[in-house]
Amino acid sequence: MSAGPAHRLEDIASIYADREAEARRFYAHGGRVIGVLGATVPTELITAAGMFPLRLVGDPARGTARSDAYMEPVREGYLRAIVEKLLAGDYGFLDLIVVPRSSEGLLQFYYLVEHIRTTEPELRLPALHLFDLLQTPFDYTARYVRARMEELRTRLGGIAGAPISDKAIADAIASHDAARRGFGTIVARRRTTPPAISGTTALRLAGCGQVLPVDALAALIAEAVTHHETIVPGPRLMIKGSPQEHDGFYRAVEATGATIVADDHDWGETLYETPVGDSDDPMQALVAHCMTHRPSPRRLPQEAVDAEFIARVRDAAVDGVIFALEAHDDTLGWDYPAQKRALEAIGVASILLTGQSYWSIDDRTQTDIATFVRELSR
Amino acid sequence: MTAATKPSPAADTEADGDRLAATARARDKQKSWFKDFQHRAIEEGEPYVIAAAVSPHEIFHAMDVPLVTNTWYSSIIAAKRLSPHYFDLMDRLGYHHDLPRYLSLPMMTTLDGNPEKAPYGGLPRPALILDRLRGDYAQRITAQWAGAFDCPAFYLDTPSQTRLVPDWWNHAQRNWEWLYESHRLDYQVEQIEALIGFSEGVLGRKLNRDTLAEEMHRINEAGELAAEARDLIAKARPCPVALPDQLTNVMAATWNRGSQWAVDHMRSYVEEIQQRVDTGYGICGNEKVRLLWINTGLWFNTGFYRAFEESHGAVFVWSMYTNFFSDGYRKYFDDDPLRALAARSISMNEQLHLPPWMAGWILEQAEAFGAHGAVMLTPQGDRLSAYGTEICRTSLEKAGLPVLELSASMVDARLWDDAEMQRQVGAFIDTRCKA
Repeated sequence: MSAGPAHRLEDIASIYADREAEARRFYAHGGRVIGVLGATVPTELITAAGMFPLRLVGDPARGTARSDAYMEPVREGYLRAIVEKLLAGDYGFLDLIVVPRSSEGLLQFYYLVEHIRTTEPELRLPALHLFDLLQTPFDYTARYVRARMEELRTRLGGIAGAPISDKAIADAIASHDAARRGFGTIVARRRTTPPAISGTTALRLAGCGQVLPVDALAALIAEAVTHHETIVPGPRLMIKGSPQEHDGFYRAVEATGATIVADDHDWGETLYETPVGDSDDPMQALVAHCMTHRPSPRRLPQEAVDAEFIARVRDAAVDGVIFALEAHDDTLGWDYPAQKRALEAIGVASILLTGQSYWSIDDRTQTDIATFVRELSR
Repeated sequence: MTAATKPSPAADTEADGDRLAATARARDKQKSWFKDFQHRAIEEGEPYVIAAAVSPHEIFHAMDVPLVTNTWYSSIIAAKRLSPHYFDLMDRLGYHHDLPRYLSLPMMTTLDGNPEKAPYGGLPRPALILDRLRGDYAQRITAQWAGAFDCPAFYLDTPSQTRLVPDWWNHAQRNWEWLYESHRLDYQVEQIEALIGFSEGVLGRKLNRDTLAEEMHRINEAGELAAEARDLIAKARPCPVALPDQLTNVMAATWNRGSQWAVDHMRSYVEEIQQRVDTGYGICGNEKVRLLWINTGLWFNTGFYRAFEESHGAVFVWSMYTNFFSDGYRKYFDDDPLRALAARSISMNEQLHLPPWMAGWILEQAEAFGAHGAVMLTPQGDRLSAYGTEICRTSLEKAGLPVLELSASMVDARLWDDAEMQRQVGAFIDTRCKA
């Protein structure tokens, strides 16, 4: 797959603002684009097949006029927003959408959209593929996931017009790992005192990596490591919790004088944290990586997940953690009390913001953030 | 016609005159089950298991290991109106308000550490907690609860159905290998084998697989009787059995599935219904409108189901508990009871919640029961129970079945506004349900 035109650092904002543009260009030049949801699809397989993996993003500005007819208001905002775009015909350029079973919301998205596709064929929705990623830490689960990943490999090969070889997969893993290592340098730069890169820029870069060919991301990161933002020292924060698909929350936080030096959600730095690594069996390496190293609310055991979180807090020398949980969260809130206690044990402050809207940031949230940052600044 | 304004009759006082004799026996059975559990697990300290409602209890029944479900204990806490006490504890511990609370109530009794407050003195340390990882929060509650007890937890993962054929109920009993997809069943059998090995080690007992096979056959036999009961009720005009009686009898057989008692009980239940049908007995002398109840049962206020008989001639004739035991639990097999057991639990919730499985099954019941409308209960603060309800509602409406959606808390009876709920249902009957 061609990396397309080289991007400059100044392009980050525009790439981030229109995260489908690069994929549409690829499609316009005869390439095949595969949509993915969430952070756990083995996009290396798509790269290996010479196709473009595009992580789908909703648009809060477009509302939910169409999707409301199918989706309960308690569903995840980002999934309601993506269904809105699906129903509006935005995704006609996709050959397939791969949906991982790494959250109940994603699984229910698959069933819902499959149902609409079946009962309303006139909508011409793209085909879906459920990647049934299970994450219990058992050998039989790993075997099950391996078989499901082989099915995905076969389907992608069918779309690409040729089987995907082990060598192509190993090469794709090497490319994605290079990008992961490159992102590690971005993480290091946001960790300096004062930080050399803002949280908003880091979030945008992480997001660009989900919508650019992997080689283009590597080039963008190579340029970004020379970038230096002038950041007035202020409280060092981590954002943790529900997906931060857009940068509005980050901008609101950093407007108070704090800097986001770390994050722990599925659009942030944890996407790039652990390389897949070299292996004689690249498919098995991908299985292990998808099951245990990609951001997902179903990772087990929770003690290990929490230990990673605290290690990141220490590594980033964080002053405070903002737990931002979406409205109707039924999952991450169960983790919060133990995580809060762990933070207290190492003297790190935190604030819990529940009921967060996908569509906008309300006044109360703005006030709570400002108060938290002001207290940290004392 | 104006809406009813009388409070719903309390479950224990509702129309005693038309209650089935079988219902009293079912209640007695549940009481004796609890006494046995109390004696063995609480007083004698015998190893016991806490298990999710939708998990293979049959393994432990066959091993003669006492078992309770977290949902059962939740319902006891709610029925004793202790939920607010544990909600306060959740707040103090930092669990936020949006979290679904029903399944966490039992864990809160353990974290509270106040046996004088907890029903029956609280549950003692189990030998094992078994959970099925539907949704994303079960693993969290179970891990924390097991941590509080310092006992092991075992997780059954949930392989996902890749295709949803519309008429699952026509395939679920004998064509389940095809329906549930072989790769999923292979995995589910591996999981159950692992569970058996783990449980035998923890409990110090050996599973007798012949005993398991006998239980599995008896479940099918009881399921056939549940199907007979369902058919009798569906065809009869007027409705011979009130919904609370249906719930009590079928659920008692479901919880005690595999036992000879369950078979015998379902047989006596069928016989009693048959007698009523033969004599033309109806629970509502003025039956005009027949309603379905969709989604979760209104356990703390089953009298609500009967609140519209006198005022509107409207009878709730069906809920999923009427025949899910017959349609969802029966799994016929030749020589592999474990695979049949895998098939039983692999898509249990999904059959009740996923489009098109949910809507298709309900439409089938609506036709069989001659329903004029349906009332759908959507639990507040429970995303998992809400998934699929919108598309189900619109599918039923498109098919010509009017639906009223009620939203309510399932765990805090204080928040149930009986008069308002009656007003909504009454208006729905008046305006949309044409006999």
